[in-house]
Amino acid sequence: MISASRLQDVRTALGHWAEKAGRPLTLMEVCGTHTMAIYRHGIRSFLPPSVRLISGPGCPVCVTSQGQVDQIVELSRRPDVTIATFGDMVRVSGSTSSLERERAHGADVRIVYSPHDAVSLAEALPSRQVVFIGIGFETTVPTEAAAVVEARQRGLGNFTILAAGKLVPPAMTALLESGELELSV
Amino acid sequence: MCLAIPAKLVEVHGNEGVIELGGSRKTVLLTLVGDARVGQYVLLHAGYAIEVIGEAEAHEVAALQRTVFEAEEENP
Repeated sequence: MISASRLQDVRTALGHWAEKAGRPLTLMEVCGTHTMAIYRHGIRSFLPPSVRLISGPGCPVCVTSQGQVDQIVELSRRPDVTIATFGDMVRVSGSTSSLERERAHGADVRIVYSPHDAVSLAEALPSRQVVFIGIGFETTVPTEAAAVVEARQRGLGNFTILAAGKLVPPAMTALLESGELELSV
Repeated sequence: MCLAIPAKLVEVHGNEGVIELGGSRKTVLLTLVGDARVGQYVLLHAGYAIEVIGEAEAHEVAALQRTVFEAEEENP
C-alpha cells in the first residue's frame, strides 16, 4: 500500500499545480483500462476538487468496433483457422461472443507476445491458416509489417494478418477541433 | 500492448540481437532498426526493437517506468 503521507503529498502537489495554473486542472487518460483503475481504487474521491478527470479517446482494443470483434469471432469458428492474438483481445465481447468463449467451444485461439511468434506458429502448423489479429497503434503496426516480410522470406502460404491498426493523430485532431479543449502548455 | 521499453543492445547477429534489461538477457528482432549497433539503446515493443534512442532518453524513460511499476507494486 502507498503510505497515507505519500498520498497526501500527491494530493497537495496536484492542488498546488491547479493553483499555479489559476484554474481547475483537467487530466485526460487515453485508455478505458485507466478509467476502470481510477474508479476501482477510489482515486477520484481522493483528488482535490481543483482536479478534474475525463476519459480520453480509448486504447486500440477498447475502440475496436463491435462489428470487427464479430468478424474476429467468425474467423475463429472456421475449422481450418488458428487465431493468434495479443492477450488483451481474448475477453473482448462482440454482439454474441468473444474469443475466450469460442476457445471454450473448441476454437483454436493462441495468445502470442509478438507478430513474430505468430509467424513461427504458422511455420509450425502448416495445415492450419494462422490469422494474426493486428490490433494496435503506430507502435505495433510496423512489427506486423516486419512479420509479413518474415512470412514471405520463410515461404509461408498460411499466414494472414487481419489489419485493424488504429492511428492516434485523428483522435487528437478531433479533440483539438472539438472547441472544448483546455490545453495547458 | 501499448508499452515500449528501453533496453541496451549487447549483441547483434544479423536480424537478431540480444538486449540486457534488469540483469536478464533476451533475444529481440532488429528487422526494423537495420543500423542498430552493440552498445546503443533501443525501444522494444512486441518482440521487436522499433527505434534506436539516445542513452539519456533511455535512462529517463526507464526511470519514469520504474516509478510507475513501483507504485503499482505498492498498491496492486
